[in-house]
Amino acid sequence: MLRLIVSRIVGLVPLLLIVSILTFGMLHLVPGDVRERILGFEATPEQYEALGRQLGLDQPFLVQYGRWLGRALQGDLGTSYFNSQKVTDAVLGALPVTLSLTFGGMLVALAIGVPAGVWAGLNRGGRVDRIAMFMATVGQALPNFWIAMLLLIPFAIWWQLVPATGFTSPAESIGDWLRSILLACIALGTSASAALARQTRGAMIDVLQRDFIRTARAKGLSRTSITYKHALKNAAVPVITTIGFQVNALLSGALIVEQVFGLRGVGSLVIESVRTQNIPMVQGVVILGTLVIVSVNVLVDIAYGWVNPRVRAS
Amino acid sequence: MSVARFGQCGSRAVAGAWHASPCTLVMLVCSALLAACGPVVDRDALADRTIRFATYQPLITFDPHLSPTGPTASTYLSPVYDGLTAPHPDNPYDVLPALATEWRWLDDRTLEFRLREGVRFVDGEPFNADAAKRNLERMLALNGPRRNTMRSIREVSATGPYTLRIALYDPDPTLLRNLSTAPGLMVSPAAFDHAALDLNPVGTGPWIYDAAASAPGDYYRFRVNPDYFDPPGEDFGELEVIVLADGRTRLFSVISGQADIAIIGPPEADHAKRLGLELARRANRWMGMTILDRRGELVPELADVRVRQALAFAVDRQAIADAVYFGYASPAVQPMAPGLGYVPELDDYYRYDPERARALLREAGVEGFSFEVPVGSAGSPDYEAIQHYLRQVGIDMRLVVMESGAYTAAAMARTFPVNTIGYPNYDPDSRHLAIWHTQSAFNPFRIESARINELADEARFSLDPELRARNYREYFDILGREVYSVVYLHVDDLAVYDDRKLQGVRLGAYIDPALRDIRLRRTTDCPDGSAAC
Repeated sequence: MLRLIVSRIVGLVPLLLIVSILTFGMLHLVPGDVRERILGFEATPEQYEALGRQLGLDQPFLVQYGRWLGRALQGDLGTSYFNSQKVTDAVLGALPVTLSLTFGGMLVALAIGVPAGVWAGLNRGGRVDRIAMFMATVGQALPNFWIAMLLLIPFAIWWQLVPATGFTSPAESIGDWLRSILLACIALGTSASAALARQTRGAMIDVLQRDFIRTARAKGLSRTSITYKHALKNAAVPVITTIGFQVNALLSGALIVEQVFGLRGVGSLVIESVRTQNIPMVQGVVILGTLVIVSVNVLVDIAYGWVNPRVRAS
Repeated sequence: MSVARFGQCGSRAVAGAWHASPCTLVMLVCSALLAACGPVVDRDALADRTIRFATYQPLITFDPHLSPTGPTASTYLSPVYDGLTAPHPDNPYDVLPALATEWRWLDDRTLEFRLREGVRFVDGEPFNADAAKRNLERMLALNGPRRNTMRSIREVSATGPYTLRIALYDPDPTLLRNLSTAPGLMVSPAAFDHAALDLNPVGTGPWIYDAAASAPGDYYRFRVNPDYFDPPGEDFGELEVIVLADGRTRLFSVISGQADIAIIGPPEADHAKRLGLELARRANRWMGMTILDRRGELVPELADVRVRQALAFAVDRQAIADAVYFGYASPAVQPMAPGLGYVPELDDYYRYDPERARALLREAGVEGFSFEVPVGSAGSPDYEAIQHYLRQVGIDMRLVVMESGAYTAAAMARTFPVNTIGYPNYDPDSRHLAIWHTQSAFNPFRIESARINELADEARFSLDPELRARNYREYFDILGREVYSVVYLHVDDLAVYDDRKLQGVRLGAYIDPALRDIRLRRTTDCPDGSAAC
């Protein structure tokens, strides 16, 4: 397992390098000029030139990238083009919001998707199975921002049970924190729960047909024991893979849902930064986002080993 | 008033907006779970002394000498800084005393100010003539984005502890106004060298920025400055600026009580109006097209004034104001609102008359032509409507929808024959320099109009209000009749607010509300002394 983690960390280096080059390159292809956004339309050409020199924009692309990389290797992801706000501070300030939504969404997905998938798998072809799979199809078809709007209007606008906008840190109040993210997590988790339900159902059906399950039944083990102790554990490997994919999907989904609830997470930060061509900020978000996604994948690999000793041994 | 407060189901707004059938089982269960999270946060409007303002605009910098003007300055800088003068809330051409209590022109190139005594910056440094001199010198040396508005300043001298003299290269009728904007705001000289001045302002304003309680980019909190030189009274609240990018989310933030006032667009205003919410509105900008290619290099037909006039006659402005702007715009044919540069006779000049447009095109020998216009994605519905009307008279206007960065660059390049930037409808001096002057950023074809330049140059360097009025009247008469820009509408800036909590809400010249004028409504303002009116 340690070898796996080390190999993932080593593999992260070229990955981050490629991601940073691609991001830097693509941002330079975006039309427009950040100097215009800072100085406005009525500045003189001399002011544009001076600002370009100050920001290093007068240098060739590779020199600009090299400077950024040099600082990044020392842990400095730079400062905003617009003021002295550190990129790391801005991203780390926004990350709790996005992570709250992502992992909250995943909890919702697990709470709905896994039981529904198990239930459907145990009742293959029956009414429960058909209802669960119909709901899963609907859940996957609905965009999460639309679900967010559907939830927002009754719960936040009509009944005002939760705030319509804004994020409360868990350090301030756990209850307010839950209230500030609840609808967004449900909106995000709905689609992921649908995917999890389908995957769990398929895996359960597959496992329930295996010989060892027949043996377990022959040994007279209870249905509960067979389902939860033997079948579900063996069905968990593909489900964990799906969870890994879904965490990544939830991260990107959170970027949109944040807008609906006015939550200042990484999504709002990156959208604002792309809009204003604040390249250091976008670079920082992408690099730290890559780190989060790779970390999730490593956790998924560790979870494989936990549920399946053969993976651990290999 | 019908804004529903957070946690107050059954308020009038809730009742008014209630169109749902009885709750479904799922909703009831979810409601119970939500309620079980704990007591609802106490956000009683009248116990809450904070004015919460939701805007789309995040802070750029708290250093006024490096800041652009516009909403970033009026939202974030005006709470914490003062200038020698202050903008007049109702008249964009006038100013009020601020850190200067009075001023006089010694001659047409020398202005002398009497400064307010006993004022201190929030770091304890005194404000005096030396501090003002050092501020203006810093602003000129830093070469910030709006330095050009102060380019007439030749020398600043402190002629006494509280007397400041500014010598100019040329007479400058806009100087007093420009001194009230970002580059004229006063920073504590002791903070000039603070590396983080851009995130930690040190001014004399009525609020003090609370960096520890703020999350830049998300929300910014300001507490009342207890030592402000002009105590604003007990009904003056703390301030919180909340950044919410989406207009609908900003409206929801007011409806649900997370914000007390929010900038919104016409679709949200229409929704807010149906809910019975209070709106503040002010027509600050014009919408239309500036004809960049008046020599016809890209589109030869546009060189003919009759063709340009056909563009003005062909469009039903009222219909667009009603359909696209939900009535929050008014038909207009000239760039300037009543005031400097407004020409009353032009108002009847371009009434909707498609027959006249066709006749002008025939007269010009044009049987139909096409041209491309760049539009930002947010503005495309307006121009789709205009496209429809122009097509009725045989003009094929093709829209090229662009992301905002590309759009602005395209609007200043020789790529398109027209641009669709919406400019403020006041301050002809600045508009001339930005749009119609030969070297303007938005005159990429460098089209020279000698008479226009002559009139503006004479007006820009004159302190004689009559001369300025006369010149700009002729200027915009020429501009209107020769159609340098086709103006269709004057568009309202809009804000929705909770009038149970706030009073004195009105919009300033830069989209957002004049924050300093807003007061908390006192219980005694309600006829029965109750907590809510």
